[in-house]
Amino acid sequence: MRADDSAQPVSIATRVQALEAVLVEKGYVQTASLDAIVETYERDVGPRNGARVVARAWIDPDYRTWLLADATAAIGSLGYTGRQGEHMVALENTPDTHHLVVCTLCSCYPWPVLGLPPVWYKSPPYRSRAVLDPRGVLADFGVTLPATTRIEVHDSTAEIRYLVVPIRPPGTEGWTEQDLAQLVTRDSMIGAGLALVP
Amino acid sequence: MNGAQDLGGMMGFGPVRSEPEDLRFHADWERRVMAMVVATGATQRWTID
Repeated sequence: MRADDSAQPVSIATRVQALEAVLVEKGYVQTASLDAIVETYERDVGPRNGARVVARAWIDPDYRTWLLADATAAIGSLGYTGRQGEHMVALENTPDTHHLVVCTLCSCYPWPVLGLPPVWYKSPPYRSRAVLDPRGVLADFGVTLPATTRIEVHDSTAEIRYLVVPIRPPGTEGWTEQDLAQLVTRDSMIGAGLALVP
Repeated sequence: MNGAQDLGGMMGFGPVRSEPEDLRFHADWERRVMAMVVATGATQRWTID
């Protein structure tokens, strides 16, 4: 080793740049493709997709029945298909039962309806405690459920991804699907939150 | 299943810290890495395992 050990490690940004350059140079990926992927998940694919699914289920009883019976097909009918969402299951919250979704092993998440998973979903605190202390986890999100509400925790897998259908807030009778979708938060579709009350 | 990634039920990691839903990337390099993971996976010569 040289006498001068004060050299800073190469920054992550520089290393990522170098990795991308090597992958492109060797012909594994193209820059334009990478740009398109970034744009897709930054702009086009996100929780607003899932919000539309939920709002549709709130308004249309036939769609709700279909969603609960065959979520993959019902969600797919709105155009939300693709990687990390090939097999979907919808979980409907009721006053008796609240559903919470986690991936204890990694970060399996329904990308086509919710986009990229947030950091907290991928991190040890959530992954470890969701199955151990779901009420404590909900308290971290500022959510307190009645003691009579049962909490069901679902562990996602490489094969199955879940979409929670939160309870429709009171005072929204006659609302349009578009306006209802605005009440559906990302967190409520994971079960870590509730739909917004107008 | 035993493994370092099997975190279900483990204790001592502290509180869950939420973040806003419109926050997609925390740094520009995150965008590039995400895209590279997706694109390189599509070559079927590499996986996240």
